[in-house]
Amino acid sequence: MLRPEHLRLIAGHSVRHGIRGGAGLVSLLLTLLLGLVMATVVISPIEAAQKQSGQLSTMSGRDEGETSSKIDMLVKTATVKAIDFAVDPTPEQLSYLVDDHPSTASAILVLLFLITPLLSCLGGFNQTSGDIGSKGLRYLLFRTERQNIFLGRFIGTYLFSAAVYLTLFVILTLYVIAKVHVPGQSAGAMTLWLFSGYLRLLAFSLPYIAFCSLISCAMSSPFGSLVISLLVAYVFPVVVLIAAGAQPLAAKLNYLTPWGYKWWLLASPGGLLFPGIAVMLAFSALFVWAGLRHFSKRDL
Amino acid sequence: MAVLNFVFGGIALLIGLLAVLGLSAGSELTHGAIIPHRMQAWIGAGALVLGGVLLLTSGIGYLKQARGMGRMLANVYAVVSLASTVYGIVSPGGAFGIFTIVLLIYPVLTLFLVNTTFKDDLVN
Repeated sequence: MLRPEHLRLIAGHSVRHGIRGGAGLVSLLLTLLLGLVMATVVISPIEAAQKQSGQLSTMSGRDEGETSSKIDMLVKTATVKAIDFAVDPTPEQLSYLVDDHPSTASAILVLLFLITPLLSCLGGFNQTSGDIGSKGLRYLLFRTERQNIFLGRFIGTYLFSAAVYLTLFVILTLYVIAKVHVPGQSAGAMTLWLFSGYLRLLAFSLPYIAFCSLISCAMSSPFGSLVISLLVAYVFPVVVLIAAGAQPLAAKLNYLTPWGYKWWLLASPGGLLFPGIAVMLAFSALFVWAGLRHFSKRDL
Repeated sequence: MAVLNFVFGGIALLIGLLAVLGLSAGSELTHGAIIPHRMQAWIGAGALVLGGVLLLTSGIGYLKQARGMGRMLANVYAVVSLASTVYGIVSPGGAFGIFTIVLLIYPVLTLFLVNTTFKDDLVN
């Protein structure tokens, strides 16, 4: 029987004590580290271009308008290249990411989306498996039902991950506003688009954390749970990519996992955004249901 | 957290010692000629070695749940590391970039965690 107060207590405990466990701490560190490194891929060339253009305009005495239009062109070229490489977008989607929104922030979001499954698996792999392995979970069964433990930990892990992503996005937003001045990309527009990207990234991470809940409750080894989660998250798309090289139709197999729908989340609200969110919710519901079913029956 | 201290401490110590060796070899090769930013490089290498030693020692302190060796030395490490990063930014030729933030993550996290989350655990 689901008890809201038990769920609240278990989820709150999971969020507060997530950092105390080694997994939570490593997840926090790696999320910040990898997130910043991915952002550097976009930001470094822009900063280098800005520096070079600044020096050139000082030396040659060119006017600022000419310099800023040159930077703008450089930024557009670099970000379009990054987005084109990762997304392979339709002209409408490319225009939505590059023309309708600050292209710098779009390129950062695209790169962050590529590592979201990894970060989600790192945050969610040890929801129950460690306690199942140590037999510690059975002592909780005197006090509450299995559903409350499973769902409480899932919600707690998701909230913990959301807080970690928020920290990353706050750091990135502050840095981009303070240091990266691209003509035609205002600080307000950058902030809004990065915040919107944060919400879209949360939607993308949800099915992966739900999948980790399922794997975590099925195994008594946290390391095994991490390996299986990562194998499914990344090896399957790689296999599909290789197969698609021989048979283009095989690329459709990606739609069996949330990975296949990830760019839908970076589409416009009038386009595929809401169907994308619906698909992520459907995958999450499926994984949570399967996990709950298994956890309710398994030997603890 | 002790494990992370050992990992980061080992890496910092290794890089710091290599930097010290490199700088010593460099001064022999150039016969004491003035090379720009040498002083900053020595200070940076020294801070790395000191930070590495502090990380390793405080890691042992975490395992012993010691107040002095664990919490106090972790605070000292965080302050030394933050100070050396700030020095790297304000010194001639230094700049604030995204990698500066990467360098700030662990000291800030250490400062936060040992004084809040783990405060009541490091009491022996």
